[in-house]
Amino acid sequence: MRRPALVLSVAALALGTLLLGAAACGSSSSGGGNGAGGSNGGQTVVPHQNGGTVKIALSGDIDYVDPALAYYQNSWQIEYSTCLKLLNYPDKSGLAGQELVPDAADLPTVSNDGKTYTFTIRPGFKFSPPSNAPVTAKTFQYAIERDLNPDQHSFAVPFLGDLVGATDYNAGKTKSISGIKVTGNKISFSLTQADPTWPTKMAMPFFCAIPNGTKIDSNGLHSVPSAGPYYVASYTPHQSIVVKKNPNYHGDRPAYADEFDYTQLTVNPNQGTLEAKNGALDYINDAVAPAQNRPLYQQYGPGSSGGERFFANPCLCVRYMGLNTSRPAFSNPMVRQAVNWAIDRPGIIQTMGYKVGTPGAKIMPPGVPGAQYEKTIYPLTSPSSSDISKAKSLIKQSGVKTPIKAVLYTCNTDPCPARTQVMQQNLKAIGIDVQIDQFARATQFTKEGTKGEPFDIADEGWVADYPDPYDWVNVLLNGEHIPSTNGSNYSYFNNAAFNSRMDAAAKLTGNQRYKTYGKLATDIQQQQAPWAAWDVDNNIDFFSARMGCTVYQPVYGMALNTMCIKK
Amino acid sequence: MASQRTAPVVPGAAIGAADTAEGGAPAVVARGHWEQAWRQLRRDRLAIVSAIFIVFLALAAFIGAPIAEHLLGHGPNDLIQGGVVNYVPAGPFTDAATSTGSHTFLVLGGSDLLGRDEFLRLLYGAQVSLEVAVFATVFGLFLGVVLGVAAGYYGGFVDTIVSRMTEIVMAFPLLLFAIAVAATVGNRLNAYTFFGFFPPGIVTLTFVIAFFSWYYPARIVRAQVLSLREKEFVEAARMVGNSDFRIMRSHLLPHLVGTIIVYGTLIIATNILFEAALSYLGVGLPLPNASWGNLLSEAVQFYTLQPWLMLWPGLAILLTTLAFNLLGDGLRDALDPRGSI
Amino acid sequence: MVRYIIRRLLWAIVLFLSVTIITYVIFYLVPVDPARLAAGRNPTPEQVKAVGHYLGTDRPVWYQYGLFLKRLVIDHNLGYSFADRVSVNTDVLNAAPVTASLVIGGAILWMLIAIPVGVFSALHPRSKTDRVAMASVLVGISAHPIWIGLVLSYVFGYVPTSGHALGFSFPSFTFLPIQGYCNIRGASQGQVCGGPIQWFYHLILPWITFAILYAAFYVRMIRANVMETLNEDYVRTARAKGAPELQVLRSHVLRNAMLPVVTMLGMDIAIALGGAVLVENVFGLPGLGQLAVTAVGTFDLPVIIGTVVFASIMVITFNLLVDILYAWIDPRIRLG
Repeated sequence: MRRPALVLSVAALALGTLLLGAAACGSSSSGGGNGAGGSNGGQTVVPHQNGGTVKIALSGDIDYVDPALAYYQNSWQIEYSTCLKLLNYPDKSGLAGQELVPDAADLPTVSNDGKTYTFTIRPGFKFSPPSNAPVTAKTFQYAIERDLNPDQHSFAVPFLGDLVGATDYNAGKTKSISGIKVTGNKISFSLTQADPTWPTKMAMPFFCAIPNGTKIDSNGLHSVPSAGPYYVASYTPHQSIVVKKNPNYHGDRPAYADEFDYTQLTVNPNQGTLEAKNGALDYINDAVAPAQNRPLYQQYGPGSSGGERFFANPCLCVRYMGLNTSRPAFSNPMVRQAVNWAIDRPGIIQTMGYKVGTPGAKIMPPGVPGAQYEKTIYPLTSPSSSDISKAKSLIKQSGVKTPIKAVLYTCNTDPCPARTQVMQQNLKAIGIDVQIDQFARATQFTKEGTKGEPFDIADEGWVADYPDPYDWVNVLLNGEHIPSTNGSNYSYFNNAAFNSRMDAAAKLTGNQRYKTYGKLATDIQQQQAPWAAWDVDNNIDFFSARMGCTVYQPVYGMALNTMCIKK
Repeated sequence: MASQRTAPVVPGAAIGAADTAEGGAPAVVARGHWEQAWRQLRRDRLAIVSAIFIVFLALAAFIGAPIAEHLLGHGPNDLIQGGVVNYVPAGPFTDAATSTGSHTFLVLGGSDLLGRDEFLRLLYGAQVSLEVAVFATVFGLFLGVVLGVAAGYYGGFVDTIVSRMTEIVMAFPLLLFAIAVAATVGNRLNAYTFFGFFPPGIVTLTFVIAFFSWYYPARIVRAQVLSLREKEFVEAARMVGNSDFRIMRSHLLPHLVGTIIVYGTLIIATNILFEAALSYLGVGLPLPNASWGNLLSEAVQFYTLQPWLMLWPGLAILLTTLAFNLLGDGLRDALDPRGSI
Repeated sequence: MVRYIIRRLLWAIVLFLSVTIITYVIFYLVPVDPARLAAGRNPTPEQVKAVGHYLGTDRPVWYQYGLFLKRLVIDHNLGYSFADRVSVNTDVLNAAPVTASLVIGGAILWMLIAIPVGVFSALHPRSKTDRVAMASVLVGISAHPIWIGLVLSYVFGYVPTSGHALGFSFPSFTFLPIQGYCNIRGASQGQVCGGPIQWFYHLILPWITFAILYAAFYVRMIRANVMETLNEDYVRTARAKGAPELQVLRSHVLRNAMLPVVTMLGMDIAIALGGAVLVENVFGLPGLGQLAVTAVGTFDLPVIIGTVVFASIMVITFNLLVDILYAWIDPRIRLG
């Protein structure tokens, strides 16, 4: 009697363990194909061990670990794996990774006028130690209150402008935010105007769930319990960060390693690359010495025998020459179009290094929904003689007399002087004489953002805050509200027709929004060409031999929670 | 430092012996201080070699560089496409293709990470180093001598002020100052290229370096003036009714010339190192113009692929600074063998 | 003596005030709004204004300076970094031991080289050893510390670890670290290296680089001083009296020859403690020099002022100590 029971129970146990093991290993999403660049399409789940400590080094320190303040790309990369948000981007690459999916809450219901969003919080999420508290609708309310608290001085404030009562609360006039209502497990937001990007904004790491009553500290806390797959256990500024697995997380997202140790935050790239090669480090991204890109790609790129270890994937950013439409040199759109035909995009990128970027001529980079509907108008290869003659004829047609004198503002550290030299060379061939003025980076964009500053070309780039076309087209090219200082519309582009098209597109939702923006961006570039966009930068990631399973998330970069240590 | 003298200097006898050897009546020729110094210097072979090296370097930098540029057909800032092969800088003596399809020759140093001719950049960097070092020394010396003489001569309050200014400069945030100067008046100062002779950025660099190197000669000059002013000739000059300025200019200054020359040369040597350091940290000569410090900072990125990029600028700095140091030592030995300066 | 110290302290306060005021003035002459840099990645103009108000950069310069003084004197607080709001006290107190390790260790090394070589050369002028020493000295003061550091780091750090050089491959091994610093008290959470041995090991190449330049200067100086002292009357007297050479050396020559060396040593250490920028940059040591460089790059005024405060305190303290020491050793010197 006992023996069969014993056998049965052992069998059950074994089966259970097997199933659990399979679930753990296979529960990660196998993503769709990756659009641009690398071959790390979906998650390739290889035989791996659960657990282990992954050693990482950065060559540029993060800014904060406090969700209210963290804004750098490398801190957002950490937060992608530690945060539990209302909605989130899935652990998938390519187009699938750009779609908002439920995280702590289901997809929201929207009121008819588009001004009220209601999220229903799903049960079962708990914060990491030392808090261990459950995640409720009230915790999300607290997260937003903390971001708007006048003593916190958070960087999230500008994104909450549409929330009813936010401004008063942030000014210290009220004790609570009138636009947030919590009933049971539902949280609803009332907005002052219809804002289709509200769910996208709520997916920013600023709005991570944090335990109710977390201290307000304008200098930023150094460890905050979080409810995602991982949490930041400790942070010593300029020295180290420790990220540990959240034992209380039982959601759908993958989590393999036990711990991520950022052992060095300001490592020398030559040393960092060497250590990642030898296995002393497991993962580096900004610490890859650009000079090493090509040898690393050849040895560890796609199709290499030991498995791909070197990845170059497009980031959510664009580099462009902002052509100042408010000054005579580039006031004529045909001259601006000519610039787009004449610049040598691959040649400019070459001055920065191998696989540092991909030539691009669009306003939106891949990864922004809507970019797939924007068409590339101008050549992505080095300009052929027909391209040059087309440019020259455009200038002739415009009636502007050559040589056109233009002043270009750029930064004074490598690689700015070198790449602007190529631009200068390219434009000289079509009759535009460029004078290069170098400044410290901070001085550069301060000057460019000042109305009336005497420059014609701004050597600029843009990294989005959230992947929506609004953060590209409207923020950078709408001419209705250009401020006198600290503006972002460096080409001072102010075209009434396009302004109203932008305003109209901002009100749309769903796929129609993205299609419309795609067409709008195409038209802007084709007809008015306020920019000469030339590249989409790549995020370079390099792993040691023992790492695997990783997924490149188009919005946040390599997802820490998807990294595993191979057996 | 004792120079490599072969024959000991015996006053009187050597002079007399030489004259007797010429076969005439032994006449005692009084040699002036300068003539003696020159003879001493001539015997210091290392100093002479250094002086020749410096002259050669100046010629190569200012005359040779434009000629080389003309002969090679490309400039030091030109991006040569064939200079970077598969993202690795080309080695020496490469025949590189330019973007217009023609060929050009990359001599000696090969190319740097962007395909620019390293050899030409070294030569033009020599121009920058020499210009900045010399002009900064001249201004720094001027400032230092004026302040040092005033401090030593007047003593008391003036002396205290100057000494305290020295301390302030020592505690001063050099980098902030360099960046601030570059950011504020920098663009205007840099525009002074002396009819295109200087690359932009020389003036700012010179100003910054002179500002931080005047206190060294000031201290030395002050010590000398302190001892000189007690001498009788100064008192005599004062009794005759010379103004202070006259005394300082006509009576004290000639005694300081030796010091000024010696320390001037040595300070040029340190200023070469100083300029390279500033350019390495990114607050020196703005890119893309070459300076030895710039070349060093670029070399760091590529030393995993092309380590000799580090070699040329470092060697150039070493040899030039060494030459100036040796020359300064030789001058010191010649002008004041007893080592009181 | 007491009056002298008081007067020096008063001067120290004046020096401190002048340097900090000048720093503030220079900083605000640069046409960059530090609030813009501290306001995040893509701030709106309103956000920049709000951050400016929070940081206090929208107040007049003299008001900000007064606030800084009050906070420093009363709260002993240097403020918070604009870039990451970390307490500047923490930043400076973390960076200072790194620079101190480099400078003091380097000073010990260079004196260990300079004194024996300088004295020996002075005692045996124009000998083979003397000539070799002088030649090395010349190379030492002519080679750029950056270059020395890079070459050492490359040859002894990178090449062995990477396993190939000049086209040859060999099994890689770690000889010396390329760069980095280890805390002498042990690795903090998440860090890899720590403890006294690792601390020493990581500082070997930086110490050598740092010491070469100074050792060269000091060999020359010691040699010249000793030679000059050897010609003094009292040395001749001592010798005539029959004192053994070693005793002459110890009691008469060295004591007198080393006095000016002590002054220079004090000043050099003081200046270097303000930030041995170059060596720290080449070897990635997170010291005061690196702190100052990054702060200047991001227009981070509190950190800049923090390093300036620390540097001036070092200069003042060391100068005062050296002057007092000097006066105490040499009774002929009367202070004040």
